Amino acid sequence: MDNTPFQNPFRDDIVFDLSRIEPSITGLNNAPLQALLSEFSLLNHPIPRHDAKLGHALLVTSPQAGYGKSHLMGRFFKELNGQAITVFIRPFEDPASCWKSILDRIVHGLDAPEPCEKEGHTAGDPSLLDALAYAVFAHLIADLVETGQIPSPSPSETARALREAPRQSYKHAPRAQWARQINGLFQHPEHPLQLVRRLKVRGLDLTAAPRAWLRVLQTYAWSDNEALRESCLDWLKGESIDEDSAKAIGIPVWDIPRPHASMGQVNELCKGRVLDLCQLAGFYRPFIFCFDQTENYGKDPLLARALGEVVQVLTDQAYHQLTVLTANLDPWTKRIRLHWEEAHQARLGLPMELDGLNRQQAEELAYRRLLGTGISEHAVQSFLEHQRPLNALFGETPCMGVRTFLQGCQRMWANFSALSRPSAESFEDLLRRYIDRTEDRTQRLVYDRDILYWVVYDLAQGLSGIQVDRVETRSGLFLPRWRTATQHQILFSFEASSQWQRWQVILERTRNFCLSHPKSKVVYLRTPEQRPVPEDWPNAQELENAKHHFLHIIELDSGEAKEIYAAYALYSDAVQKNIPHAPESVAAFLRPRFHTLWERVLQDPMIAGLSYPFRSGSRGGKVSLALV
Amino acid sequence: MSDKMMAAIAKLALEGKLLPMQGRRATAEFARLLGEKPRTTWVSETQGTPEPGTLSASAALRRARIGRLGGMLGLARKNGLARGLPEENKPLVDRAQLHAAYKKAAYHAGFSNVLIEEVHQYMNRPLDDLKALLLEECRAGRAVPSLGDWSLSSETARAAGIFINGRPHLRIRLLE
Repeated sequence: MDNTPFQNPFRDDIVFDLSRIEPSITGLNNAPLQALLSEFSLLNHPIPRHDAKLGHALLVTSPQAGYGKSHLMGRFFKELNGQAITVFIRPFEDPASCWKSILDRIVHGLDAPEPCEKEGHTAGDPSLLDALAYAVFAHLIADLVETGQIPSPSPSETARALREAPRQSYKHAPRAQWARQINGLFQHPEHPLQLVRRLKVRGLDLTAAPRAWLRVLQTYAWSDNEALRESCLDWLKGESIDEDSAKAIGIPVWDIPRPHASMGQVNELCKGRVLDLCQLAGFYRPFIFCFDQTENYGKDPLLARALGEVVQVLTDQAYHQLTVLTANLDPWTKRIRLHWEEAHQARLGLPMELDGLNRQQAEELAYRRLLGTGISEHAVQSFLEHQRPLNALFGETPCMGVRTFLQGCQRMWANFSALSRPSAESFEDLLRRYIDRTEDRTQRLVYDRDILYWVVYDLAQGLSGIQVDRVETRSGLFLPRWRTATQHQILFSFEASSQWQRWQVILERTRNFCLSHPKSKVVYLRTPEQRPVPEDWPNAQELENAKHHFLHIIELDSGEAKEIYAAYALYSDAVQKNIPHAPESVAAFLRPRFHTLWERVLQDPMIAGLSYPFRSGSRGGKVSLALV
Repeated sequence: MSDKMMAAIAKLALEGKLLPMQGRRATAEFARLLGEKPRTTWVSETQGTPEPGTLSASAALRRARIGRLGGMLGLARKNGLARGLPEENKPLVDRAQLHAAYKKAAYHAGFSNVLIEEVHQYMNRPLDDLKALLLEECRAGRAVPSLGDWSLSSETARAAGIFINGRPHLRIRLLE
């Protein structure tokens, strides 16, 4: 045996990141991949396209966890590199804000450069949203050239060149030149209106004003003002922006999201944004929305139902997109589909079922893993001769799940390499592995209300001395609430915006709530990349005072955020049965690790003297309060 | 040969010697009857033990055959050893019945990986017979078992599971 006792080549059996998948095994699950590609090809009409819509969302199932759903999606995304805008939709936690969560994921993906195999991006790399803006304007200007509204010595050639341009890499487009020309276009007395008309002529029926869309895309893509670009992103995410920024961008007053909008209104607005983006994608590339990790929706019938409604809306109303759901059969049939109406179920096409590894494919995988870790060929042969993993595992079945095979080999390798026993990876080691993975992907560490929701609702269940439940607000939002043995209540709310008007509304609402509910406070968790709430607005002092009484803003540092995000990924894998631990055990391990966070939540304002750990407690039920 | 073998098995079963036997011992006994070397793959999963004195001779034989010897008889059938068995000793589930029931279950579920419990619902045959045949089909490479999700499964779904590599598999897919 060579010097490899501490390296188990079969250990990695979970796909952490769809953009970094292991090469595929010959023939394994090629049929579902081809079916996905074939469905996508139905969207791939010549650009610009304005009526491409699929009849169904697609469902990829596996009969047990570990058959390679995420790996298949990784292959699909890779195949579509340069042809589609791929968006991985992490499970939402609150049905009332489902569209907000989805839109956040879409905009987050659009605000990043095209994913590529090469690691890292240069600071100046254009984002997908830059490219989308470029494509929209290129085609609209081409339209104006063709109709003679913009003079050109050779209109058809100019228009053709413009339409071809978005297909080339946007990276090489002369940005400064384009910026000048587009800005000039908006200075013209007639061109802005003509551009808007072209959108209508092309049949786009946007929920927001077309003028607002054009100005937002223009500002995002060609403005050098970073603050305005950020405001454009806020607008795209359905968040309120201040009137000065809106004016500078050129957004009509009626299309500025209101700071006092309820979450229900925001959710509806976000749905509109998603549908609008899908329409605009006709100028560029179709969207692929991948709802992976669907097991998480099974924990609450309302969540499962909300997923069904989302699929229905996307299928019925969204153009230029392909929605793919992946699921393990049992959670799907017993916990999710059960809560779908017939109309929701009718939006799904025939399921694509994943296959397991056959013996030949398993052999290929085993060899690849063994040779890929630098183990000598002699050791590889010795392992295969002595352990005979294929004979041992395939004696009674012709196929098995990839993870089942890898785990079998893992145990055999541990025996072979003279480790006493394949000791199960401790929770501590597992979490460290997840934190390392999170550190690798710093772009994941952006504000994510669903992860923060999970930590204060799901993970906090079982904290002794605390009853955790959810409060249904007037707008149908479900906010996590903690109740202490001393009858204090702590409500958690979530806000991505740093805009002062929005915080003014939050201030008023939390004040009203806490006045009508004594011994209460409202907690907001903020992630490190979020801009601080401005300190130079009219009621800034009032906000500061509120922080000493009923409004508690907890700013997580990057270490805390990383650990929370890694913990969420670990828990999520337990729910999906990607790791051999029950979600309850994972939560029980994680809960005490976050004692600092629990302590911070209970710190001043309001609950001085109450500290963690607490006395006995139990899980609370759902209650209804009048808030926001 | 086959009649002799079956008679010996029946004798063992009726004497109550067969059911308490486990693993290698059963294999060795069976191998002795066949005059061959023991092969561990012959042994199928252990099922429930019948209550002594409560079963007729034919029922005891059926239990024995359905249970621990299911796999062995499958092998015997495959090798032509069980040819010429009396009508009552013929396998209670044949492949045609299995495929018919599977097709109905798969159609109803909308998936090709169906719960074994669901296949059984479309068959008017003992569950243990079905499990024995499914094990045989898996070993022959004509069926693919999968674990399903034990934690989300009912007692009846769990009871219908077949053991492959020491783990209960609740779902099955028949290959055409």
